[in-house]
Amino acid sequence: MIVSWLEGVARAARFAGRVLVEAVRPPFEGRETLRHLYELGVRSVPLIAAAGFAVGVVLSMHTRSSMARFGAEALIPAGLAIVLIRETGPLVSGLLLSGRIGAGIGAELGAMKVTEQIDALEAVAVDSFRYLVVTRVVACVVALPLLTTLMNFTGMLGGWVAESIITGMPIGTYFRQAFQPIQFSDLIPATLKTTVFGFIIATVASYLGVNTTRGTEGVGQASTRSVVASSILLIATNVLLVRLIQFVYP
Amino acid sequence: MGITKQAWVGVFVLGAVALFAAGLFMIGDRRLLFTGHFEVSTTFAKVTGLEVGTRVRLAGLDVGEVLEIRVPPMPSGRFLVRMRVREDVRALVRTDSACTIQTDGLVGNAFVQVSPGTDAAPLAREGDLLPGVDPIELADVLREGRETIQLINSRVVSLTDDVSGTLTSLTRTMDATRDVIATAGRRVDEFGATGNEVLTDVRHTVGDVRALVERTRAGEGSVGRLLTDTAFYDRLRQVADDAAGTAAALRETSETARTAVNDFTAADGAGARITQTIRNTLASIEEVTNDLAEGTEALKRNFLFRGFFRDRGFFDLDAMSREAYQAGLLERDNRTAVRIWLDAAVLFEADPEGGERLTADGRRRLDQAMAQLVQYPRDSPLVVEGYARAGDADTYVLSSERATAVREYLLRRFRRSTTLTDTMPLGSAASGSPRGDDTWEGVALAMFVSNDVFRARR
Repeated sequence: MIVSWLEGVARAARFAGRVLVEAVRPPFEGRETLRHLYELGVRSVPLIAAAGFAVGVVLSMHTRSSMARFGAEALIPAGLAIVLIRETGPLVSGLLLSGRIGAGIGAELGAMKVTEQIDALEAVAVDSFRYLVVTRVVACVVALPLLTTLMNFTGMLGGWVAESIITGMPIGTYFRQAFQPIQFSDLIPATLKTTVFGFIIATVASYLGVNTTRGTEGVGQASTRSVVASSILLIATNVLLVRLIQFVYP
Repeated sequence: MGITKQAWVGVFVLGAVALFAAGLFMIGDRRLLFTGHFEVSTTFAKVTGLEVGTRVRLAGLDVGEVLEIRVPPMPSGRFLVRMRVREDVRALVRTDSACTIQTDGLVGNAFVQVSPGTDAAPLAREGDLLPGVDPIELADVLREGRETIQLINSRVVSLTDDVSGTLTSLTRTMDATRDVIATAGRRVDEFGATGNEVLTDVRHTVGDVRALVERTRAGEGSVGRLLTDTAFYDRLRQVADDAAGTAAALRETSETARTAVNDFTAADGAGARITQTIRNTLASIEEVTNDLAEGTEALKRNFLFRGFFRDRGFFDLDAMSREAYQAGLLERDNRTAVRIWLDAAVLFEADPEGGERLTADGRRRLDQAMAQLVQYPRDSPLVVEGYARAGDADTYVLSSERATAVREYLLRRFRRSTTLTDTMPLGSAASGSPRGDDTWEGVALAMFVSNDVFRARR
């Protein structure tokens, strides 16, 4: 069993390597990539915006109750911004999108697999891997940082709404105070690491989708396993990436 | 995929990129990347909570950030903190602007507070080093507070002991005071009773005095008769006259006695003569004593013991002729003469009796000469050689007197042994004198030192 599991890992790694290689080799499927960007990115905006706003409101309220004990309410915007930009925004975005995108990709490709649509593409000389997998991975890699930026913004917006209800603080003042402790080393690495999250989500879901078996039951399993595996892998990778960032920007 | 979807993708991408760029711009603006700025530095012994990017405030206004914290090379060194400050506040940053590390509240972020300098101080220039005031950490404050409380506790305990001791003393004092008051009360009562008795006695005495005065006025009694009897007055006057005569006689007698005393104490009076006689007697006694001492020393010159005493440094100049002395007889016994020549003009002055006596300068000069000789053993023989002007009839006598006067002074002043200190009157024959013509006027102190000692001292 372990041997078969290790063989599965090796096949997945080979799959991921092929994605990386194919992604930088022409021809690039631009239209298909844009279509996936719309499906994966634009259509995820409401989810990310709503989740980010809610997270911002909740974090602001929790932060206020903690800071008020020490008379440090003035640090609420800065504290919220640090939490959102450094970790909460990227991680929550990745987990939300692993649920939405991972499940979608796994189910879609699994259905294509069991209905032999992928075989049909191959039959008409279409590179199914490039057409189906690489375009989704590239779209996901591009969408994740953009959606994370959106989540950071909406999260801070939610924090301002919660703060302004209590203190009536202007939005300009709030954002100035929020960015007081933020450095380039906080914003750029944390945002760019979500490209890795996007790669992981799309690659894992695509791998599980194109390897679906056992008909519609297998499609459901591929969808569920895509969400679980990509989420776990995303969290584990996040630990490594955070440590790497702290090493580069101590 | 329709154009609407592509537009949405464009909006999505551009919007997200714009938000990301806005975030970068806000960070850059806060870091003064888009505004003019200048750099200054300061030093701290400890950088509590300070890190790169920490805010810099000037009079409470955010004006910059910390760029670098340089660790000192040695433990005794100070951290160098390099800061970037907005250009528009340069007028407030002077060379005497002090930098401190402060925090927002108890748990707030640390920041560097730059105080505005004085108007007289010059503007801080690029790269200037501003004075840094080390932060006071909460732990330091707590430690100080704990020490203060301990000190207060100890003082309170000490104060309690003092108060307790004072109360005890006060209680004793009050007890003693109570005893004193009780005793005083008894004494006052006794005094009151005694006072009444005294008053009664005084009253009786006043009555007696009044009666006596009345009787005196009436010419009764001795005093009354004295006041009223004229014969008694005449007798009293005669007694006064007799007393005046007696006083005159006493005055004359006193004058006679004073004249006699003056005669007695005059320089050539009987007193002086008696004093001279006493002095002569004392001199005779001293001479006899010296003779006795010398006689006692005769044993040392006995042929049985002579060699022994000679080895010890004893000598007898009386048995030595002037020529033998000058020939160096005392230097044969393995000795060397150390001679100090002293001029008579410094040593002596004429005394009223026609002789010579040592002057104050002469005594000081002798002290100086002896100071040079104290380096030699005290049992070294010392011969005071006397010299006088050639041609005079009393050349030998004068040289003898000079030598004797000096010897007596040395015996008295330096407690020299009489057997080891002697005189040798040599007249005018002064072989080897500083004058160069083998004559000398004065004395020479000749100490005969063992050759071994002499060589060692040289």
